Amino acid sequence: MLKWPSIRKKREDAPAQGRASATERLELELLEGIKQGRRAEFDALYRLYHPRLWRFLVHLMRQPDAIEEVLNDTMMVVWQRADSFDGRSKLSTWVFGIAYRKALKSLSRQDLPVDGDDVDEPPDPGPGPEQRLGLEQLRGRLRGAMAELSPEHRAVVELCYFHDMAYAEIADVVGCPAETVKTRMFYARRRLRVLLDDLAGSGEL
Amino acid sequence: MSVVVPMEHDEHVAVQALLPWYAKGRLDDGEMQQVQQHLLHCQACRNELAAEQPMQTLLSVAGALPEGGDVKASLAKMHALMAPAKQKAQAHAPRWMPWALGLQGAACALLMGLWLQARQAEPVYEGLSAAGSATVVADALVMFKPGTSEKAVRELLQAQGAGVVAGPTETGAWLLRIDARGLAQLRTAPIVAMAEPLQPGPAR
Repeated sequence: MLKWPSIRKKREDAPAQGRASATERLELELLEGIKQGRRAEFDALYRLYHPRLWRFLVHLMRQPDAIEEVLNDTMMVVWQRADSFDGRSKLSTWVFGIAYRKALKSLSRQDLPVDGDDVDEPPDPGPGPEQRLGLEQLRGRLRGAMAELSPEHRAVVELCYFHDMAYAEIADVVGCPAETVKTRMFYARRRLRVLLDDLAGSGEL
Repeated sequence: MSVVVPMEHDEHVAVQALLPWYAKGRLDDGEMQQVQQHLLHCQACRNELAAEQPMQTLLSVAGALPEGGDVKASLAKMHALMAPAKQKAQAHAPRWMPWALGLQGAACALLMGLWLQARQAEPVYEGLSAAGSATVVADALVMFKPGTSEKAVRELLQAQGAGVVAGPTETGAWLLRIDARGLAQLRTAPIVAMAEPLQPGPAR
């Protein structure tokens, strides 16, 4: 484990109620309805979270068939155990944390290798800078690069870059110390730099 | 679990690990200042920061998913899961429970019949914050953009034949009774921030 000598952040344990956005407050109102067993509120929350959880799980699991199952297992916990949300974090942190644990459990059941040996080699980016990559090729390269990361590292990258979460929030989602999140990001980012630097630095974008 | 390779720890490592959040402005003031101070005198970390922006651009372009799954189909499967879950919870009930439930059901049916006779087909509405009532008869959850006038809201709802079931809540959300066509029109209206159907499948 890396030590972090000078850059430290005080954890904010207080609930974010005072600074909650309108969306967060709406989500909490919907949760109150869910606690009372009202399906209309559950359906509304489901529709709000489906696209976010889907994109989180796509990169985390790389198993299209299992994504919907894990997503619905996650929302089933929300439906059945809404009372267990204690409000000390954002609702999204709680939901993503459930999804993360469900996804890891699903991956372990499938006994998938973590280093992406089952994933196709990323397509050749081409011989020279003149060759412009299509969007599908870019996605293929990204999928290949993400597949090189462990699920734990993929989750940190995904939550930071695509869900705009601060590292303390990511620590709550994945259930580890904030310093571990920084360590994972350091190594994940360095690996992505190696795998994608020709794209990021070639002026293709 | 991931394997962390032992590595000499220093401030460069600490700063570089924070660069994704620094570039997004997702650090607190103290950390922002500490990173900035380090960058002032460290060329290597400035190079890392310079690489961060194209990396974020690449990830945002290539990471955008062509499709995000079928919400309707997933929600339908979710509903199918929810029903058995309830039955499973009832499976541990005592042996006398079916009889008690049967009697209770008969009593409820009797009461319901009496209640329906006493009260015509008047819809029962329930707001997001209300407690105790039985059914939400609404088709959509709608939020208007801040600063929208009451007159603009009223005109839009009238034009689309929408009825207000409940709202506004503390967050400015409204529950509306509206058909699918009207909901589609609402979504294109410039004063509407969000319009989501509450029921699976098309609105009535």
